[in-house]
Amino acid sequence: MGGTDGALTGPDLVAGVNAADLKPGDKLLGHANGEAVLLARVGDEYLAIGATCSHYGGPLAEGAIVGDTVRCPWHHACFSLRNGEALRAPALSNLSCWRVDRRGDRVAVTGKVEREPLAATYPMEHRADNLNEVVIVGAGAAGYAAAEMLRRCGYEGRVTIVDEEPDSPYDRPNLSKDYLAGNAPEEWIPLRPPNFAAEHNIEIVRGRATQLDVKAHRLEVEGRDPIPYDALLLATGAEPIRLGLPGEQAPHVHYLRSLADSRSIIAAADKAKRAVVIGGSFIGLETAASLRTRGLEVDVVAPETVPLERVMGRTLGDFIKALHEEKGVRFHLGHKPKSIEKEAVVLDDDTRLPADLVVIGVGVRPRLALAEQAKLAIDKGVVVDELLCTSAPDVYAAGDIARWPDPHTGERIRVEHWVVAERMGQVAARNILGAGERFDYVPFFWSAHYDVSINYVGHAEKWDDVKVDGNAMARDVAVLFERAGKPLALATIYRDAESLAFEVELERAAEGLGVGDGIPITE
Amino acid sequence: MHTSRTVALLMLVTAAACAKKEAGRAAADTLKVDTTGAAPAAVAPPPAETTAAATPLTDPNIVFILHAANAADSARGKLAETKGTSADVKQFGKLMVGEHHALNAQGDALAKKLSVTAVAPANDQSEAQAKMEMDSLTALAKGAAWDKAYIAYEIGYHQALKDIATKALAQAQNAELKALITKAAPIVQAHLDKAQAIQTKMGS
Repeated sequence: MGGTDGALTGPDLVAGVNAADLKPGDKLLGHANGEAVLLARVGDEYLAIGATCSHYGGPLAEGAIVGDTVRCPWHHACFSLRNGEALRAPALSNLSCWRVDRRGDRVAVTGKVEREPLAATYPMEHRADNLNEVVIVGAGAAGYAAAEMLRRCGYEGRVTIVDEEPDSPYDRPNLSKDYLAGNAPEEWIPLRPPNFAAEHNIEIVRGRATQLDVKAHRLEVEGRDPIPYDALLLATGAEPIRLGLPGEQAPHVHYLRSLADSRSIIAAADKAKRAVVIGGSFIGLETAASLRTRGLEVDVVAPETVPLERVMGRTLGDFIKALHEEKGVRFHLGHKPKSIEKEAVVLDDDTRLPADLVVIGVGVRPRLALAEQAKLAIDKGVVVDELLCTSAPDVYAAGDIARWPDPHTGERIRVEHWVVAERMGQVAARNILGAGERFDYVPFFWSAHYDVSINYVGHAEKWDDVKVDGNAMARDVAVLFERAGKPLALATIYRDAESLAFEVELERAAEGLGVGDGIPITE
Repeated sequence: MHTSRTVALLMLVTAAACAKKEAGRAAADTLKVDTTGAAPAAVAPPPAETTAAATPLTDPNIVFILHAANAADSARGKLAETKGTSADVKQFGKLMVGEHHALNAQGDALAKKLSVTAVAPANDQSEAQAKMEMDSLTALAKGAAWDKAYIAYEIGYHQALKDIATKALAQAQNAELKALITKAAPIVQAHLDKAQAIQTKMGS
């Protein structure tokens, strides 16, 4: 995603603007010394930070001001207006912070605040200092975000991440989207430049964690000495569900989870002409879109009658289907594959779909082997409390494996969203350091198909009412999912402001008279 | 001596290093003995120099080496900011964080601009070496001995870095990469001078 590079717009904030032009909660996009800068008024204070989200370059000027923070309209990252700190994933990097001077009725940006590299910038009030060894299993969204958060909070002991993949951490959401479609350069994929981990004194051990001894506080890693820990974060993620179809082992059949998977599909797509995607999941459909973008013929096989209906409802399911059909994808719904042959996928009604490339995307399952072996409490996921602690002392869990008590639904839920995993990792890290912070974020994910991105905020496994506002076909819609009159989730296409506002609404509803109450929100 | 240090940092293939790495974390405590020594050469004795001399560095190799060197020194500097005792050592650590971080960032930006992906030279052990040094400095108790060990390591390290820079400058193909190395050279020299001055002041 290109983002907001390019020409600077708005006023030169160094020259200054009329202070009265900004009301409390207002924001203004301008520039200073050649950089895009967002000037915001919070109460009677004027604050300025970089205007471009450090995640995918989203335009913060089109986001929402919530208290003294700003949220990105694209993927709901959140930054402090006071110092540019990236308070919420998916943004991991801070923005620049600018000094603002009030002179009479004028307000002007005077210069950038120099920040010390490697400084502990995340505000952390309580810190336990009696720990020196934090071990993280998994360098995915949760694990890696946790490692960085430990450093951002000023923790100076050892941080060791154990991961068997050679190239983690990388930007997994891209693997089925722009990267697979050929629209994202290679350098967008690593989450960090080489040696970033080394500079932050984060050690990534490339190996397989084989056993977790919660009594001895020790993690065993294949081919290495056991690693002792004071606190351990399990972030083992998920792996694709395998169908076990006859012919599935053939080289032209792929699953998509890792960077290596995505690369091998890209290599295969170079030579292939006809792809069959098995599964109408987000991964399946994003893959279908990406392969169509590459010019392959694409057939999608899925057992449901409307793709994604179970998750997104009928309206959006129909729209997604129509969108793909408009782009030339052929659906074979209500069918399952029976076998895969060298040049075809055979369906349960004996239809043969010619295919020289097959991608199976039928969902993932959490990787629980380590947790099960350690006898942690399991309930279709690792059970954690509101602080993300597992049933074993000093062992935390985050990401796709964790089932947490969600205050918004009042249920224990487990989700497989990138942004949620990163935020869980960040909260777990702060709790390892003694923050005592409840994990209560409203879940968020996005899914991209061609030029359409669907944002989904909240969590609705079941609903009894759906309210559609707008027109999906016109790419302008908000779909609200409710149960017993209570709003649970909102799916939107190009209604970013509504998506952000709904997120805040859910947060306030859950907080009741809690800390967030009464903080003004403006768009 | 300079050549051997260059090679030590560049290749960092040593029997001692490997043995310690295999010993794992338990070795961290015992490593403190090494850091009280004078120079990194003491930790990593010179390997076969001829091998390194014979292997020319590619631009991706140079980018890798500079990245690794800057990242490691920035990380050590951060440690020195909190674990150093004397004001000189703390300040030196802070300077290392700031300037090596900046060099690293410039290297990143250039690599991105030139679409160069860093590639480790064959048999490169710099990561393991940097980790060993971090481990030993982490394990070593705060105090005058820590300050001395850190500064001694930094002197050897910057001497080695100077030599690497000279070699890299001679072998780099890209003009902008050469320019970056040329720009870095006086910074590295200034660090070396500063570290030596601190060592003299502390008394060895």
